[in-house]
Amino acid sequence: MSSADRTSRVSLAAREPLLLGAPAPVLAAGGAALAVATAIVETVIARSQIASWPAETGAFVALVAAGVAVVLLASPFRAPFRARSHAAVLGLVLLAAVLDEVAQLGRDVRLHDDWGLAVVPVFLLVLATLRPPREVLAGGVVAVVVIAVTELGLSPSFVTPLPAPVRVMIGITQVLPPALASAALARTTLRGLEARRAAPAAQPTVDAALTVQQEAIARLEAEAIPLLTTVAVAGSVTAAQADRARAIMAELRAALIADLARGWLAEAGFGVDDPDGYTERMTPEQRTALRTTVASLPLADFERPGTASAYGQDREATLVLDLPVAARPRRNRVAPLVPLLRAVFPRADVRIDADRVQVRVDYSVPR
Amino acid sequence: MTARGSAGGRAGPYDRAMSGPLRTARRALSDGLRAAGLWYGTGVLVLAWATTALADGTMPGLGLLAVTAAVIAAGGLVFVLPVPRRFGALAVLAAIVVMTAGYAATLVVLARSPMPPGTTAAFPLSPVKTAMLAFAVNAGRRRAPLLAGAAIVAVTEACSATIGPALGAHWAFDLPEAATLALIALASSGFLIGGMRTEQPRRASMAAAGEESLARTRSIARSRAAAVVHDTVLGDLTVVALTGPGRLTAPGVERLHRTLELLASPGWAAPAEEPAAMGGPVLTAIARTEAAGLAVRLDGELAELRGLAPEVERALAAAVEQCLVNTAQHAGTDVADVTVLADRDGLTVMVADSGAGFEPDSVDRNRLGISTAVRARIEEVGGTVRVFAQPGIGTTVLLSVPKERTT
Repeated sequence: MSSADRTSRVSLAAREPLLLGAPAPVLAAGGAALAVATAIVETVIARSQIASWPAETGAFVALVAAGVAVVLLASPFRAPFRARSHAAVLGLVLLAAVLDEVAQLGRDVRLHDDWGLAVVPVFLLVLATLRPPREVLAGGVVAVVVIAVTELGLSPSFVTPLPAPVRVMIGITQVLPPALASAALARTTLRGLEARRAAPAAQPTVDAALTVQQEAIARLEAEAIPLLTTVAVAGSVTAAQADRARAIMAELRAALIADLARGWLAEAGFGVDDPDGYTERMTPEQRTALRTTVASLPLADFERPGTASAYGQDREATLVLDLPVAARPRRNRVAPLVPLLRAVFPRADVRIDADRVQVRVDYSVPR
Repeated sequence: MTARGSAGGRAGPYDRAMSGPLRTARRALSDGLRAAGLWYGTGVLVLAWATTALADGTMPGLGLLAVTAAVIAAGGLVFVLPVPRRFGALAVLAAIVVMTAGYAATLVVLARSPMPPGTTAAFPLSPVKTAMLAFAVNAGRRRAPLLAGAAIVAVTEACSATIGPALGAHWAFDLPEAATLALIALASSGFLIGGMRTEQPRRASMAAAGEESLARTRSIARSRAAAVVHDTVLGDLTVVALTGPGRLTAPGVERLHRTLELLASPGWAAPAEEPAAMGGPVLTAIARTEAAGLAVRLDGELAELRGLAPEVERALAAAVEQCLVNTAQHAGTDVADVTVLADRDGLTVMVADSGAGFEPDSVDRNRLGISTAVRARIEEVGGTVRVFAQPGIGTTVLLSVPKERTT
């Protein structure tokens, strides 16, 4: 996939769940509150322009529904925010905007301060972090078309004698720039991330490899190397040496098997039940997300974080981490971890109990 | 999981090493907000001017309005000029002054037009103020856009209240302007609060990335070391054990010396270079097993063996050789088939024999041949190994490797 494709298909929340995805719930709640407050203030100020209170009430209900929907759907525990959620929220906001215009039929003195038009940019900004740039732009274009068609249809009823195209343009002026700005925010940020993709930090890999080699040498120097050296120098084998060779072989095999069988979770202190080795076939990104999750929780014992149980069939696997905690973690402490996990696992759930947190992830392994 | 030290608040080596990605994300977001502010402000100015022109195309002041819009846009561009940090506040002040001058000029031009605005919140004055606020998003980081936006609102509204009535435009509360300012406050505080909420997991994530990298290195090194020990020390011990009391053969002694020399050399866990040979390392490995008495029937897309990355080629050669050694030692047959199958992404080498076979579930876990010499090597280069065996029927091992090495 090219860089351009990547920036078109991924959202800010999915690309950087811990940094660029984190504001989404705050923006959603704040945006919904701002939109409702704007609607209330404008309705009070321009109440003389309301021709149909039922329609205005309907507009307000649609706006509140959009606000509730975006708050609920942008919750980290419901991540990722899907295209159908985008459509639902935007649809409700546009319905509110259209009903607000209809409610002022024949009495609308000034178009550009109608709250229906003022709240659309708020939601466009909120949605910009949750969906890919291309879809954000498409949503903005849909909003522009809906507003333009609405203004065109309602233009004969406008109080001020303005030509229909002018009325349409005033409506578009309220919606098109924020639509472009939202798409630009998402696209430019993602392109910046791609262009500045940080070079991996230098890790002491040489030291790590050397340590492993030294461990292996230490094991061999205990018995195998002295025996082989003696045999090589003598050029012959005694019965005792042959017996000793068999014993060393058995010990060495057992040690190597144990080394290789100890997976990354066991190394991290987990009690592992993974007879088919599914956890060893995770991607580095998946392992990093799980390590981050574990390190972010108030574990009861950091040396022995808990148990890991992996099972599956063919290429599909499920891993359950059972993590005893010292104290029940707050939901907002766990919340950012859910989108992080769902960015790399097709399905991930975190269950919080009083004394433990259970992380369950589903994933596919390579053939 | 030793990441807790870093997650707990003390800056560890990984925090320092991995601060790059965080900085990258913040800079990218800063660029994104800058682009959004420019698109928003410029779009509003252009559309407001176009709408005014559409409303009264004969208006003599349209040219002047274009100039005032350009002045406001120029003021907005001052926000994005690369100025030294100590002059940042001065640049923001200059931008506000230039934009306010442009706004005042717009108010004057519109007031003298055939369609004067009734209030200071009328179209297109309100969108012009919105555009100025959009440009203010580029005033800086954290609270700077909000402060700049508040300053713009204060100055433009003071200007509106002062000269508007004198020009026939009464001052009026501008709801879209207030909503835009609230939107800027929401955006700046939203990213700030969101960032604070995830500070701990972000630190944990940085530490985890470093830990994962080290764990991967250790795992690869361990696999390599195990493969080398399997191929050398365990093989030598087998020779010693099987020889029993008596003299070793000259090749046996020579082999022991080679092993001891290898173990005394630095970096022996790294895979040894195969000598360049016609047909590549895989065919060279097959030729070695044939020299030892095994008949190997080759089939498939052998030419594809040449297109592999060197480390993949070496790993595949060692794995194929071990499979054939297993056939020779355990299958009770002296014939094996090696078939090469290529697709777009990778290569699969099938090593099959019609020998004794075995029951995969009942294999002694202490058998290292498949786990170290085959599986570890192939998985190290991003490949996979599948074994199909049945007693009395034979054994087939599928070695799949990528055409490009995956990390």
